[in-house]
Amino acid sequence: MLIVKARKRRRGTVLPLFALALMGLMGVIALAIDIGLIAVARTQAQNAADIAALTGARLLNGDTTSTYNISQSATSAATAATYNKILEQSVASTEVTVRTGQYKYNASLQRFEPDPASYTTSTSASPASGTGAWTASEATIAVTQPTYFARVLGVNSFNVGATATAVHRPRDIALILDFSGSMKFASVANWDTGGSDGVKSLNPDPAYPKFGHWTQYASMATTGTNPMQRTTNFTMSSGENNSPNNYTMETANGPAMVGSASMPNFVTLNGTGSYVAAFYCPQSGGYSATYSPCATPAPADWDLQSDTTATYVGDKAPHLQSNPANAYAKTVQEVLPATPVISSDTHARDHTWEEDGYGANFKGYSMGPAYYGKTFWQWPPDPRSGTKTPIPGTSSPVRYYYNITTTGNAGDPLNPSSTNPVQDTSNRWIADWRGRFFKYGSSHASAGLPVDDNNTLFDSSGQLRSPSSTRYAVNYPAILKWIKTGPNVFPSNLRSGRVLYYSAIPDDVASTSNLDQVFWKKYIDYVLGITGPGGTLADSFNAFHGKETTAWGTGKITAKSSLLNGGKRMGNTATNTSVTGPVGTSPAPYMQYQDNPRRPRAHFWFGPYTMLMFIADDGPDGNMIAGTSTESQCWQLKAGVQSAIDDVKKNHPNDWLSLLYFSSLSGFNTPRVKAGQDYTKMKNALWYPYTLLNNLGDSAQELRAIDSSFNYVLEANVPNARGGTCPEMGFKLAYNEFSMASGYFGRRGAAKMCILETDGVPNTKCNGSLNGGGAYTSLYTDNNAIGTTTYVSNGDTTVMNNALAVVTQICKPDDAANRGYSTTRTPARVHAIAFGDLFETTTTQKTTALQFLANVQIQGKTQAAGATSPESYKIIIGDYTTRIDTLRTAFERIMQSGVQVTLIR
Amino acid sequence: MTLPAVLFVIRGLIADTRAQARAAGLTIGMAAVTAMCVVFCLGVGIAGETPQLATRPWEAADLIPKAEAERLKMDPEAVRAEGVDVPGGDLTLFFGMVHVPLQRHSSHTVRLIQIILAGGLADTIGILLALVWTASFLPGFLEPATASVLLAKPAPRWSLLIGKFAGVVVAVVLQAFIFVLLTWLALGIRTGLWDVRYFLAVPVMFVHFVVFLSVSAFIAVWTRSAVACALGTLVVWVSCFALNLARHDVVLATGQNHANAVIETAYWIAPKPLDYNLILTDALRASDYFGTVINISRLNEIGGFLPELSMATGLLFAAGMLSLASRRLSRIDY
Repeated sequence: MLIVKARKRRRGTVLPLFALALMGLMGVIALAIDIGLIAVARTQAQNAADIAALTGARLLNGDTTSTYNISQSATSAATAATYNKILEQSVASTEVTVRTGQYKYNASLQRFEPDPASYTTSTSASPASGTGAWTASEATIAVTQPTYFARVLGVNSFNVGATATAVHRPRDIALILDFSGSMKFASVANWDTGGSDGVKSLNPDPAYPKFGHWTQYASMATTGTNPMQRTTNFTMSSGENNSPNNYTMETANGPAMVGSASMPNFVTLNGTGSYVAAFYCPQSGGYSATYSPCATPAPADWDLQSDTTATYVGDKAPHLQSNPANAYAKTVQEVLPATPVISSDTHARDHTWEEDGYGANFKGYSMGPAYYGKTFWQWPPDPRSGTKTPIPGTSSPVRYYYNITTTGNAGDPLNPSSTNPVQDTSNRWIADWRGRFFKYGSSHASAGLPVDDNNTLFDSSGQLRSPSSTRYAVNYPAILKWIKTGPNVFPSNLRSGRVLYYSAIPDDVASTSNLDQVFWKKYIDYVLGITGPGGTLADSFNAFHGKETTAWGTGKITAKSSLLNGGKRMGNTATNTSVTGPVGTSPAPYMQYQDNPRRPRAHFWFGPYTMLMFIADDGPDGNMIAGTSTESQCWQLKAGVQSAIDDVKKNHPNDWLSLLYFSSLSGFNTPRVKAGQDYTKMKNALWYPYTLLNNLGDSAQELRAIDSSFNYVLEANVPNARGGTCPEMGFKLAYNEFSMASGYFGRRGAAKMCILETDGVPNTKCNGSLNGGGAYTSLYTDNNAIGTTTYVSNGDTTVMNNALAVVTQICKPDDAANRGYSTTRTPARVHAIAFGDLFETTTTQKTTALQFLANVQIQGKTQAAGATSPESYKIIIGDYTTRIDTLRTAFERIMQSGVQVTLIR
Repeated sequence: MTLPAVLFVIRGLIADTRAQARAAGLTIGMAAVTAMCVVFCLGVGIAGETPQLATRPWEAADLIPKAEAERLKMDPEAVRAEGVDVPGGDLTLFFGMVHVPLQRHSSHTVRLIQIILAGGLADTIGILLALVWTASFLPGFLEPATASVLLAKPAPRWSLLIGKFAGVVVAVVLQAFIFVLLTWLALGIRTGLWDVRYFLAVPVMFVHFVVFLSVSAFIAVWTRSAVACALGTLVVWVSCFALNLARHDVVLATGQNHANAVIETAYWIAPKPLDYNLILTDALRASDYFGTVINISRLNEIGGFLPELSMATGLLFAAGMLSLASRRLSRIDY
């Protein structure tokens, strides 16, 4: 009943209810349509703003000359917005507002944020001084759109606005560069298989002495083992690779280190206060003996003492029987006429030879080709020494030699005659280089007098002995006088990359407080084969390719005490052979006529070439080459990195770089340039000494290479290659640079990126453990620095794992427990670049090195697990121009990896 | 009369006013609007959205639009691996009938709807409509026929006015709260986004309504005309809005945190309807979505916008208006 009644009462109510429901439904639809339109319009407005902001931000750069490109950025951003439509209506330029600003790190809040005060609508404004580049672009779209159903509520239109802010995403980037010794493996002086044939040159320059005893070497093209030249790569037993060096000629690895007028590695300060190339003087008319203020390379054909290009300057090597048509002579006996045969007679003495020697035109020096300079080495030595004195008790013949051990009779090598370079100003002869440049030791019976005993200078095998008080001492002042007299192959002063090697060529080396003298003593010792103040003979490595390991021909050294007074007196004609003089009155010969010591290879050459080898030698004295040199492969790296730094400056205005070097040298265990944007300093740091980086504006700021204790003092200060390969050091430095601990400038919120460059396999580990208990505050420390290093061996597993552990640490989450630098938003990344000669070989070292670098990238989240090598674009090989280009490209690709410009609003 | 007795009277008047609202259809009207908006919110959805990357407090939520990533031939997954969001997916309206691509995380778009509902619909149109709809309540209450009955009760006249005033406020604000709560729930259920800032609309609307209802009450005791109340209140609202806007324009133009003495004095005395809207829209970051009449960010930088003081002075103004209205009511001879 009730139901029936209810039905009855409800009759006629459906229509009104339906009407009400329909009205509600229509209201909802109306609301949906209008809000939908708003949402669509809003989406399209946002899209336009996004595109405009991204366009603007991408066009901002680090070019200060164009005010960071603000004009093009703002204009293009606005234009980009007008290419969009909102509800089928194009965005008008009046509906777009573009502001340029800065996305800066707020150190107190420890976060990046747009700096509201920096924003400007100007298209020409500069950022506030010292605040960096423009790094943000903001685009605002404001358009009015009509409503449809909201009109019933009196709302006829709505304003749609959208704002987008695009920024250069900040990154903290550590450039980790390998400065280990192998980074100069294309600029190494010599190679040594450890065999009996000694150390040989890695210089491909064909201009080397080819006269005298140097004729004994077969050509490089024939045997491939010419000790004076090498044109092919040399793979060491370790698997590492040496390319022919670029000391005196350009190679595939770089321009000549000796320099050129256009690219002087070494400079000299001339009399007018200008720096000119030290070893290269462009001139017309060929070789000149006028060297000041710089040295000129001699004609290349002087390798054969030819007069074709220019008249040869100096003494030519002696020939058999003194006949230039014959082969070169090895001994006095061979210089003299073929008969009589002297054999091993220790009385034998030729009075004409002993009186006239090499004749009136003898100079006391021979010039080498190109950069070899000059040498006083001549075998046999000219016998003329001292005064011309008749043989006691006779009137004829005369000789010069026998009485030089009498004080006052010997010539004075410090006062050479201006008319005859092998006589002194008192006309006493100084033609025998043995006595001119070496004198008896302080404990010798003839202390201080000229050496005239082959057994004092050479041991029985013909090798130069060590100087000692009982043997001989080098007459440094005499050598320096000789260097400065006649053709001077050295510039008056020598500098390179703010390293001062010498300010003047000294007269003596007695003072340890005069650093010019210290430098020259070490150089002379080096050229003679004597290293260090102790005066010990250098071993083969340290003395470069200096000497023969055996005699040229039959070696023989005869002690002066064995030469018989009153022995046979020989003539140069058949009629006066075997003439016997009065025993006891007839003097002994100046030396045994068959004496034949070992010959020097590059020893005894005083010139730019040996000077360069001395400076660049990686022996116990260190590598003194300046950072500005074309030491290869190091300079290729520097050139490529310099370009990369320019790229970062120009295209990544919100990135901070830190420049880090590594090797086993402890001097590299602090950042070269700490995190920031001082790009000029970074580029300077590639080339100039670390301690001068803040003073390079003062051209007078120079550093001496050697101190008064004869020690090289610029190790790891000058950016050159030396030491073992210790990437662990580089990664630890990078970790610290990302930190915000006191003294470090890591920026929270900036993505962390390491770029490792290395040319070899790790072989050195590094102390220093992770200390500090929090993310961004921990540091690798060991007595306030990255710890000392320990060489282990190439490819040692522990060494490589230690380095990889630091990579892993960098990429860990940034929480207190893990103390890494990765977040979801800013994952830390580590890239690895393989660089240089090793990667052009097929050795196991190459395989090991590539696998290590791949592992670095796997741990560094830039390569998938299982990789065995970095990507091909990260393997830098080829000639030097190719390497520089590909290295720059590799850096640029890495820098462009990820997403550089994003929207933050 | 004791205070409990006064409160009793006020409570009775509140109940009476609510009954009056129901009788006048105000309650059902507002409920209908609420229901319509709830239905609309239930029709909102998010489809195929890419999850947003975790973001540390100090990190920016970097993103690039999906279309931009595609234009640059960047794999969205690779971009995300670098810590950059590539928003994807659609906002759907009316139960999927309308699809709008998401340019940002869906929370932005949901906030857009909230801004429209709270800032546009409720706090502006809703307030004005409520003022109009309730404009007859106080004049009707003060009609001699009605008032004589009330005045016969042993209660102070001011308490009667306050009671009626409170009744209207409660009726409207309760509806506003229900509106906010239900639309918030509906959006939250459909999108999974629960932005509590939306509830800031309730106190803001409360202050907004109270201030201008006090104006309406003041006009009512003088005119006892619903039309005068409605129009007068709207005129005052528009005038105050203009004054409010002018003051901020001056501040923005000069870059100082205050205007000249005359404008500044008038600004601080008068109700500030623009400020109430700014408080709400600023909290919901409406400037990201709409062109705003005032650059609120710049105003904040200058220090020319003091939201708490603005609210407080609004309440003081309402108290003053009610005081004046009560004083007038107590002197009316019925």
